[in-house]
Amino acid sequence: MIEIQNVTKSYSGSKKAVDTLNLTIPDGKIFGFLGPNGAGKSTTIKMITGILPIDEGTITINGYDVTQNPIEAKKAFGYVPDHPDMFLRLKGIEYLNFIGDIYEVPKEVREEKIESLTKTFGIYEVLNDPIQTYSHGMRQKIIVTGVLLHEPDVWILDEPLTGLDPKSSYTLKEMMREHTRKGKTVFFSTHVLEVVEQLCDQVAIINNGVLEFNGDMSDMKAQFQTDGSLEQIFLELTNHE
Amino acid sequence: MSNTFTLFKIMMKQYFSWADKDDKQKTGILFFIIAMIPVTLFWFWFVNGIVSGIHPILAEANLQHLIIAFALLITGLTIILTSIPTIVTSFYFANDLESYLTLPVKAYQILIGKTLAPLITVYGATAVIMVPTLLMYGLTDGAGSVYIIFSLFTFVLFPIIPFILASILVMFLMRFANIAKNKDRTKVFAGIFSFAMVIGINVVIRLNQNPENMSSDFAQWIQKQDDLLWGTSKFLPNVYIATKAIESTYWWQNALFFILLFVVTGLFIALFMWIGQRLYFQGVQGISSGNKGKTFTSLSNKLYVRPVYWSYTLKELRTIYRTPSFFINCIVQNLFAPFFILIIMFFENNLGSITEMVDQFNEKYILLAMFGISLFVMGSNPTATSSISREGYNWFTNKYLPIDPKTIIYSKALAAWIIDWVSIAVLFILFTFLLKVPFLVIALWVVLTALASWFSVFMGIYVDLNNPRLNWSDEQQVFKSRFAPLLTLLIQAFSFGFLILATWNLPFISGLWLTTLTLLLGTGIALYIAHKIAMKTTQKRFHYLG
Repeated sequence: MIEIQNVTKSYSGSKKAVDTLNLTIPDGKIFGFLGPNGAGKSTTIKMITGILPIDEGTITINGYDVTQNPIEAKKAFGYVPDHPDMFLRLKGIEYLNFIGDIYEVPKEVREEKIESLTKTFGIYEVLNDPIQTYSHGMRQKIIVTGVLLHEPDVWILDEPLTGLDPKSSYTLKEMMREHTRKGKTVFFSTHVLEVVEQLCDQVAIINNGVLEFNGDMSDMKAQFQTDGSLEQIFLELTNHE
Repeated sequence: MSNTFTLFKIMMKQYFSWADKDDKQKTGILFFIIAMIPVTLFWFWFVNGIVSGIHPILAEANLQHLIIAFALLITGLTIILTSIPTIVTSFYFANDLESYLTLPVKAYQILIGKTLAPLITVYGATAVIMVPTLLMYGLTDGAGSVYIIFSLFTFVLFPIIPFILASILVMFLMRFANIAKNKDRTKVFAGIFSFAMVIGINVVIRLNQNPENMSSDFAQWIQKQDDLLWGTSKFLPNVYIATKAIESTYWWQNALFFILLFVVTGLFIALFMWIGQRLYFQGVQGISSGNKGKTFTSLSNKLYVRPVYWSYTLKELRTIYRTPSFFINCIVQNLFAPFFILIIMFFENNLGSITEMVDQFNEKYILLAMFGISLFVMGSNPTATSSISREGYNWFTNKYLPIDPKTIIYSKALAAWIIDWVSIAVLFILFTFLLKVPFLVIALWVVLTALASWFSVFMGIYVDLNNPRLNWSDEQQVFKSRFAPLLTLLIQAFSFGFLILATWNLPFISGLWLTTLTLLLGTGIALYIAHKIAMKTTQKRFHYLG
């Protein structure tokens, strides 16, 4: 579970990128986080993951405060950033070993997980190549494999489906469902509203750093008294204020 | 035709762009230009010394034009050697290359566009050699307007053929020798090549330190070697014609040879375009896709469980080893510093006298001198001062992974410390086998250096933590015009300079053991302080970087 309480963040002291945000991402749910470009989505995710310091408020992951107990909090989640161009000079297998060492994944588990995950994603054969030689989608897959390798309770995924081929995209969505069925948490941001409608149990929409909506699809339709698509509601919330 | 010019204009703007240079770098360039004025004056004086020394001797045999021939030959060879790395970068590895490949233009158009920028730099190199030579020759020889006019014309045409020869060589290598398959390795070779050039030039300068002596020796040699020189100039077909175009008995001879030079250059340009059309695209396409290794087959022997700090250190070392500019700056440069010391000793003919000195000198002073040299070599190594900056945009990964910032800093320090051992090893060879320093002194020096290296590393990290350069787009920017390495070297020179001077001069510190103990104590205190401030800064700044 992720709990965000009264969190505020501003850059260079001027405009607030996130303003007094309160949000609870419960266990057992796929939680979609939406908003137009520059709405504060990435800032929120970066504060949850410890990449950006929080100005005001608190964030806890599975009860661990990200500022007070950063290591425990970070061990509880796995994070897929919005673009996967990292550790490019390492070979695929070296990256996975590195992640395995950091999260203390035993050798046997490592072997079994790496084999099954990379074969599912179709990157097993290129594990000996530097990540730099991978395509965008393959880089995304190796990062996702790294996250799944240490079986974190909470998944934080920033645009995780971008660049994935249909089969891998389907597999990842199935994995997200499976993860929440086990009572774990999936928090992900996307711009693809069809995916949200199809996949998410709960949705939050942020605009100009302020939370505009938080609830499930039926709540949304009730609140906006419409049978329209998420796209219509999203546009109404973010453009036609 | 108009889109050809648009293409050329854009390419030139890309190459000579100042957009990525901040004010500090611009001021640096301005200072560099100002600093070059006395160097230029010295160079003119130096060339004048040679030309006016050789001219009268050669004039006796009416062979003075050989001065121009020789200068042209040197220029041509310099162009071929120095322009290869520039051509490789401009033709094959420039970041903007892919965007041109998709444009509806012919291969030769891209090729000519890509040629213009390096060719302009080639004219710079030509000017360095030819302008003072032609000027001083003209003054000594009392040459007239025909000489000046044809010198100018020849200056414009002459560099084209050597440049084309270098380009064709590069295109053949890239097309057939499969160097292009490994872009990174080629970059490393180009880097090492440049270092070798620097050392080569250093050796040549050291061999020819006295221009007057050199000119009389050279003139005698040249008189004997008249035929040989013309023979050598055949390697560069335009040297003979260009010399004749500048210096002939009658003006119409100058004109005829110049027309010949014009035609030959034109033929070479045609040849260049013909070869380029055939070789360039095949060489350049697919270059950005990188190289693929062998298909991965067995997982179990590729799995290693390591402690976090060591896993992180390995990640650092692999990144340095596999990133060409990191490898060149952190490791190759590290190797060259001790080599430079060796060359200076060797060519000053001091090696023998230093070995004698080692025999006679008190071991205390030998140890202090060795310690000072190793501190300088380690202090100039940029691995620690680029620890944070090397991460660039990816610094954020350190903040979401569950690793204690202290562990990250220790691992980065360990990686830099291990790399320091590369230069310590070269110094070890130098001290043990060439200078024949006694074994006990070597052993104590190794202990002291190993400890001082930790100081150097923590100080470097401290400086980089305070002012890292993380927003680079090209890895080379991590090292270019940054004051961090210099600052670390200065801190080190100041703190250890004091320690070494004090130990050297204090009469009650005598003998090898007491000296070692003093240095150990001093280094220990310095290390404690460096470690403390590095860790404090880590705590304060780690999460706020990037």
